[in-house]
Amino acid sequence: MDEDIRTYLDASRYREAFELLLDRYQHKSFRLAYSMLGDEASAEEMAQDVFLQIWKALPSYRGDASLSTWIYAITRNRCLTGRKKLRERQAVSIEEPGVKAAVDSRHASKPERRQSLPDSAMLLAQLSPPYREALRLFYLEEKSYEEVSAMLDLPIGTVKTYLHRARKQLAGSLTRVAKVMS
Amino acid sequence: MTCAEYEDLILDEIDGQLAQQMRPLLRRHLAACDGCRAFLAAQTEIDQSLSGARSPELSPRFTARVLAEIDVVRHDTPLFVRISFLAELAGLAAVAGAGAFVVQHWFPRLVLGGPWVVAAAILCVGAWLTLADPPTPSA
Repeated sequence: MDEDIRTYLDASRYREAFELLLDRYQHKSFRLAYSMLGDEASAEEMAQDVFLQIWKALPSYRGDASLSTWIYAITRNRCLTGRKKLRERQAVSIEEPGVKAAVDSRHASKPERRQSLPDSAMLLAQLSPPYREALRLFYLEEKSYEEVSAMLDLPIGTVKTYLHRARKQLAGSLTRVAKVMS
Repeated sequence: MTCAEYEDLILDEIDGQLAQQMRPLLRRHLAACDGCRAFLAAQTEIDQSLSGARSPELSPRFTARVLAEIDVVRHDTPLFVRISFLAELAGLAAVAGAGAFVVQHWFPRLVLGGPWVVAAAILCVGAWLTLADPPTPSA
């Protein structure tokens, strides 16, 4: 699939190789970053860092793993580091005025929300990171077990297990909420 | 089969992965089980909610921004290139040392200033040749 990129790399034509690679993988790397960080701006910043790192390391790429595997591994590793920093940045107190207002407005709008679908962000927030990442990617990658498995470097069976467990957990909490409401 | 196993079938069906021959079995169970029907309804809601969530998009300037940044960033020197560069320097030092030794023992009066001049000359020529061909690959 990436033969053209490899041909440029073999000829040490890094700029041409990089331009093709950027065009082909920027959205995938960004979506993987988004699935791990859950924040659009941070994911874009991360994707930019990832491609800079790829550019620096391009002459070291030996072709042992496929390009996609290599790019996803760099993205995952950067995100794991970035997630820690993001968590520190997002650690705001519930008592801060802005946060309190947002929480109050959510409570105020509850009656209108009751009839509509559950909020996707709220659903995902209930899950642990591995389940959340798998589920987010599953929907972003239009329900492909294979793509999610490649991006997270997990066996397809594990991806399927994560997706099943995550949705069973969500169904459980929706059912509990429905019981409380009725 | 237990309800937990039927729940897996329901999820496979939603993902379009359920084998054709399992469908009648699932349909019969759903007709008889309130719990699994509730599970299916919840999963349909979850599926619609997550499918309908807006997919994030990279900003249109992303490619231009990255390409502008790489113009001012150098490649990392690969480890094997660094090792070969160090090996070259070590070889050079050995040749310079050997040259100085030969001059000192066999031609003590041949070169003015003694063996150190020879060693320095070898080092200078070698360093010039090495640095004229830098190990860092260029874009």
